[in-house]
Amino acid sequence: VGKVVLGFLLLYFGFGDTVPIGPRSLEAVVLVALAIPFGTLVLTFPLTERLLAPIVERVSLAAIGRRIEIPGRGLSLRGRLVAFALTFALGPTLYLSSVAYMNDARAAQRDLEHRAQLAAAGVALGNRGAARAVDGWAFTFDAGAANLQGAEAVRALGERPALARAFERAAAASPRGAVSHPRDGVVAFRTHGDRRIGIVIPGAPQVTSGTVLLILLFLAIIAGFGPLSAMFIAGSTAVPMARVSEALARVGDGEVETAPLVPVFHQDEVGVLAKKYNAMLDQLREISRRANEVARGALDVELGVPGELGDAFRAQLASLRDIVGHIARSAAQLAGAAGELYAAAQEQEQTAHQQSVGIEEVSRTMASLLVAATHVTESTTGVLIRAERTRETTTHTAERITELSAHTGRIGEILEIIREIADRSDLLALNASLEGTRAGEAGRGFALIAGEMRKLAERVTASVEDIKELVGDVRASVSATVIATEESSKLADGTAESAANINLVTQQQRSGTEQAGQSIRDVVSMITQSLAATQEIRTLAEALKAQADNLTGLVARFRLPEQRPERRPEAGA
Amino acid sequence: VTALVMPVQLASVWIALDAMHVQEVLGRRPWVALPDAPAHVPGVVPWRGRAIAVLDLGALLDVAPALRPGEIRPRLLVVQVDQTAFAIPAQAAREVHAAAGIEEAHATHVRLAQGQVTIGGVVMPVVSLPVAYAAVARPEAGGA
Repeated sequence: VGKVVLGFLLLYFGFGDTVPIGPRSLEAVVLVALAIPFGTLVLTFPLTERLLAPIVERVSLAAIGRRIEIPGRGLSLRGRLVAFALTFALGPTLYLSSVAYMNDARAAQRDLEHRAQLAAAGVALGNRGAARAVDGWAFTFDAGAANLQGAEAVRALGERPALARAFERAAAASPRGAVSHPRDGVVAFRTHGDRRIGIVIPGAPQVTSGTVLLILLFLAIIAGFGPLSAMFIAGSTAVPMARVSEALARVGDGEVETAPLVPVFHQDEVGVLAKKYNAMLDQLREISRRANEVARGALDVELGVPGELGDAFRAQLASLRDIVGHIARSAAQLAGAAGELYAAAQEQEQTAHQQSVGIEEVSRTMASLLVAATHVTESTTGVLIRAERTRETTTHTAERITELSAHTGRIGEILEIIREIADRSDLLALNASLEGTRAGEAGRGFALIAGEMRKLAERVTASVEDIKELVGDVRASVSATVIATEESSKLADGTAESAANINLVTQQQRSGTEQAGQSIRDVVSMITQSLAATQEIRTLAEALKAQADNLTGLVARFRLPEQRPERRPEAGA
Repeated sequence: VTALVMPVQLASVWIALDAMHVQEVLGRRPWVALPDAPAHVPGVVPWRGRAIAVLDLGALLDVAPALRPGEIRPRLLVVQVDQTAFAIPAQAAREVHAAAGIEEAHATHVRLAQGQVTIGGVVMPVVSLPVAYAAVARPEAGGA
């Protein structure tokens, strides 16, 4: 819509008055039609460029920020400059050409009207050939453009109704005048007396060939010289720009050392750009070299590049020095700690191994102790059983001995009775012996028998005494046996109780030994696990120490400023 | 000379007494001590419904310790001399033996012994009960 409005504005201001466009005005229309887009581009480009610039900038920055590459390839700078040149040259040129063309056409139309009026005046004065002199036909008419006379003219107007209608309106409005039509031609009329005379000249006014040639020549010059000039200008600008662009592309690809310097041909913006590029390339090369030196471990380099990049590099270098220093100290501490850890782990492993051996020995001892405790438990159980039997036997023996003691007591009583009987027998025998003796010879045999009886009684008494002595010995033995049996019973009780206690203790000991054995086995398992863990720790400590040594070696590749060798004063200095 | 003697043990000494004076041999028999009794007649003992004197022959012959009051010996010989019966406590007594020959009195050291005799291989002094009784009844007649 804007373009259409602008086109009308251009037409309006470009063509000051209304110009009838005839067949010969087609070229002008074409020129204007061509001028409109060019002129529109010329007029709207700064505006659209200015309006779209912030949007394009934001879009471009957003795409860069999001790492989005805008697809497609635009025109080269040279193409753009040629397009700009053609646009800026052809637009006004076409417009001015169309204006000139149209002005020339308008002038031709006025000339034709003037010739038609002169011919009408000539016809009114009686010059019949005046109409043919201007390639027209004369005619007469009445008021109101009626009753036209003149066959050729009537036929010409009849064939051109638009021109005829314009003529009728003009003739009705004015006694003299001229009307024209871009395609049909010109009608001039005037009143001469009571007659009204008109001249019709069919055909459109003609633009002069000089104008056409001039326009064509000018267009050819503009169309040829403009791009050439644009190409020249673009060449003088785009070539350094292209070289800078190519060099920047190589810099962008990381080829800082191989990126070429750009020669400076002019001291214009491109030259300044080239200078800045060269300066930037120098700084990048210095930064690259310093970075390579840093990569080789030289942290004592100094960078003379000013600006944020240099400051960032120096800050990074300072941070790297600090980090490397810290890493070096940490690596040294880590190596020391790893060594101590390795030694401690090794010592702990040896200790754990010794503990394992000792605990295994203890475990075997505990196993033997468990077997021994089992045997002891079985033995104490047997002892307990035998002690119980011994106590029962002792009790039985004590009962038997008590019975024996009672029997011996009874034997003593019986012996006492026997002794009394023997004693009485002895007395009876003695008295019988006495009686026999008193009886004289008659009692001699009786006395002898009494004596034998007394001897027998004496022997009985002696035997009784012996038996009593033996019984006394037996009773003493029995008493001693009873005492011994009581002692034995007490001992058996004590033995049984002790055996029971021993059995209980040995069972507890066996249980404790089993628990201790289990605990020892658990300890063995734990020590084995601890040994494995210690071995793993030792392996890890060894690996850590190796890593620490490796780290120390890696850090040693960096040369810090305090490690920089002192520069010897130059000779003669 | 053949004599019938009864061996009697006084303490550890065997003596032979004239069997014809022995009336009876008793067993253990308690005797009653008499106050102010003579030294060799310490008390009396009942025998056949009467009290007879107890003659401490061992002490009299000086072959045994004196009889203490209440001391009972296994044998108590009841003898009779001149219608006087008395009891002699002894350790033991044997049946009557016929002693074929009584040796001289000087053959023994026992007091009041009149000789000695061997019975069963044991040499024992022969003590005359009348002499002993006389020694007790008339101490001067004993020749002690």
